Amino acid sequence: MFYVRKLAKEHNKFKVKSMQDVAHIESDVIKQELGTQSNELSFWVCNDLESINEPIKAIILSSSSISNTSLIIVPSNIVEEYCLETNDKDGITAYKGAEKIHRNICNLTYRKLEVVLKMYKSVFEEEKYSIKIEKNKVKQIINEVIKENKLDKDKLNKNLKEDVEKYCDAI
Amino acid sequence: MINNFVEATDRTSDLYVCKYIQKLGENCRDNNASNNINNDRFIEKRSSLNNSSKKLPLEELNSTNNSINAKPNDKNFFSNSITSEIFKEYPKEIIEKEKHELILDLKKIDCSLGDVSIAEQKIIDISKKYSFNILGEILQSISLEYCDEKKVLCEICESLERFDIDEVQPWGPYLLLSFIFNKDDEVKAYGVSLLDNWLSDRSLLKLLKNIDTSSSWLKEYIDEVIKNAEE
Repeated sequence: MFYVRKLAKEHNKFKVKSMQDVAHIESDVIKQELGTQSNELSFWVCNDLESINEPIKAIILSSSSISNTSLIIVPSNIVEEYCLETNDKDGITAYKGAEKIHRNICNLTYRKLEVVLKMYKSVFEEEKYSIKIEKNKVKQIINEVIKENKLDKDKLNKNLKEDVEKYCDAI
Repeated sequence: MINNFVEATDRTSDLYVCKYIQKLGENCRDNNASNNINNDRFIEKRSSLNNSSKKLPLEELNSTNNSINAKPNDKNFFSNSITSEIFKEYPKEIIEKEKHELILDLKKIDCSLGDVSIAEQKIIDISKKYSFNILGEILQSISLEYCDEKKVLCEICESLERFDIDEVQPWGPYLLLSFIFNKDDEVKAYGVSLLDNWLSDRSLLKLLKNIDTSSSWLKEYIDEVIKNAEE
């Protein structure tokens, strides 16, 4: 299984990679990439990389705008290797049916956030585990979801909804 | 004289607009702006508005969904016709007011997680309420004035990523220059991210190759963006 999460800023990946010791990373990077809610970090999962499109659609349709989207992909064995706890609370996305492919890394503490950052650093060393979806591709993906009739308009973020109406096919 | 005039009249939307313009004038004078609002022009405008049969509820004027280009059938047409009329009369004052409010929002520490910031929402609203050209005028002015304030510049960059390059022509690429050639590497990085979102215009690729930095992480980031763009 693979855990997929959106990166707030693509350049943070290079900041993390460049750090010998992640303890010295700027606190803004922590806030941007590891901002928790209820001590949890949100991810979307897929069983294999062939079905990566499912979490990608879920992530795109839980965002607040259409723009380049950078993702980190963490194999589940690495999550286990770092002894991080997870739960399977439903996620919020306008991609119908994707609520069940949501996972949280949970019960996070200050110490565990450092562990998550170390995990990020190790994952970033492998090129295949961080990908970028360009803006035009994001629009294409949204159009696919609309065509498949899998867009839940009521769950669209207000600003994303306006962007979808402006840049994508009629919803 | 203006204050007495305002107090004596009913609280209609056109009065609200006149009070609003008066406030702008006061702000402009406080800021030593060169444009002051003439009292006589106020009274003249008040008379011409009074002659109009269009009286508007206050809330219509405050509607953030007003579009200057609304048609007569549009339910906001009457509020728009007055808003656009006032805007034509006092564009500099209104732009100054929007700019002032945006600066305050850009400087705020936003505690919201995940959703758009207050400043980004303001930028979106300005683009909808007026036009992209007005937005460009405001952002260029702010970027110049606050060229040494990282937070302000980074917020502007991030907010602009949602727009397509065609929408922000001709000012977008020039604004981009101020970010990617800023001395601060963080601002440069945000500028690179914005440029990356606008790479449907391939002419911008040349700019990426001209960014100078000593930070290894930023060099690696720029190289990756160039590599992806050239593939």
